[in-house]
Amino acid sequence: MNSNTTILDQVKKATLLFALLFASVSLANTKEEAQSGDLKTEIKEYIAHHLQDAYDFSLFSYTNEKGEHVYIGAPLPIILWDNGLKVFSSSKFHHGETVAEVDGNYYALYHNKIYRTDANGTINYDEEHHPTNAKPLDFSITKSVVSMFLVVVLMFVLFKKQAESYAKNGGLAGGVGRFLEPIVLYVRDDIARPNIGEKKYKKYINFLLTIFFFIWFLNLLGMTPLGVNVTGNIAVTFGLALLTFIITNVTGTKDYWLHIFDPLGSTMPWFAKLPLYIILIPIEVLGIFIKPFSLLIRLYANMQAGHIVLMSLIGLMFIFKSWIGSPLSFGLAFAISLIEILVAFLQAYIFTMLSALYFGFAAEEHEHH
Amino acid sequence: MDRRFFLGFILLFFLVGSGHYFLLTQQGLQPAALFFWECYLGNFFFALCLLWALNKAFDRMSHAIAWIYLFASGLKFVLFFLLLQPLFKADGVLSIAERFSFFVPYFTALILETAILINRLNKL
Repeated sequence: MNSNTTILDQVKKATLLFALLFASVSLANTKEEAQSGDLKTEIKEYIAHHLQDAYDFSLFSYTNEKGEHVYIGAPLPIILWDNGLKVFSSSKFHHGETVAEVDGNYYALYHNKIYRTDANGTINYDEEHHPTNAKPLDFSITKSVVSMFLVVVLMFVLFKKQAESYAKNGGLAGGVGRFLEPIVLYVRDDIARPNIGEKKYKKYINFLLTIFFFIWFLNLLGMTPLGVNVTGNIAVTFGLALLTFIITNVTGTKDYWLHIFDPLGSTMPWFAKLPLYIILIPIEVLGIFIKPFSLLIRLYANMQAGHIVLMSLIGLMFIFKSWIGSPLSFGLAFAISLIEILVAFLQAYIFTMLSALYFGFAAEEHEHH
Repeated sequence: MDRRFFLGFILLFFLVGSGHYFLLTQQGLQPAALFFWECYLGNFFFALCLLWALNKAFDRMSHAIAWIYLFASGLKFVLFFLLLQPLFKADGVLSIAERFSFFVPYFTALILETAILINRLNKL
């Protein structure tokens, strides 16, 4: 009887606690409903801004006592081709608040893109509200480019140290090399060798190792408060996938091409193959382009989605503003961050693994053709 | 290029062209008004150029013959689009018969080019 009463008490307490928690979240939401409308828009804009590339390396910003918006970070060089080369600092834009005047031309930032304008920075629109101003060719060193340079330097230093450590320690890795060596061996023994084959993997291993560490380091850099989102930039993933596409097709053997243009080989006479090939060959030819396309979309979409989810969860803290909502959002954001660290590795692994698989197709040599 | 393939190429083009011409006249259509000769001669000429290029590549840069085929087939399509589409669209209508005037010789040439590419690749 006593034990039954205790259980009943516990259930009642749990229900009461749940009701209190629910009420606190609901009340907090009702109170702040009016303000949260603006806040939600602000958070959405902040997330959109974070996902985009930038012309300066801003770390954070705050509003000072005078009500001015202060940005902490560094300006980056803007390089434009607009009837000649124009090079100037992004500080001229004052974070998009002013028009930059260079050699008598005026440029303004609109949705993080540079347009040529008049002295007042007027942007003209077409019927669909797209800017009609001239857009100069942009070769600027953006935040993403700086991040890539950083990763290149980091990789150079780390792997140089690793290489030196072998000489110093009599063929054994030392320092950071002890951490990197198992990963290098993993890429070689579990990605390159099984997919490309013992005979030809050495031809591709340099590229595979470079692409793996480059993507992994960039993904991890995206997890830091520096606010970079390089692998969530479709231009970057396009560039990486283009390299895989070029290497696959340039190194393709005759068997690779025969697999595309004569997939059935000598298994049946030509008149039987003809109707099948009318369907098969276009599919195989499309496959040449679809494979790298899937690589670029997979990496881009996964990293972009990860950033959006994480930033949205962090944004929830400011919307809930309650003793249960904010810690809950924080906990979720923390858990997702841990998953994102895994995703950072996983996406680098998948890109490398699939590149190796495509190289394996390209390097195949059969006896049956 | 093998003489066998070259003769087969001319024969198939002739047969397909004759059949196409016959069908058009049976339907009461004027082949000349559908740019029939331009389409067949143009496709025949470009296909010959491609086969010549494949033949040259087979001797000198065999690793690139598939690329040459892909590039030339794409270029052929784009060229025809640029040159013939304005003629077809001059009257403001692109009829089904006009579409067939272009695509029948185009795909005939494409099938032959692919067959020759496969033959070349198998000989590498």
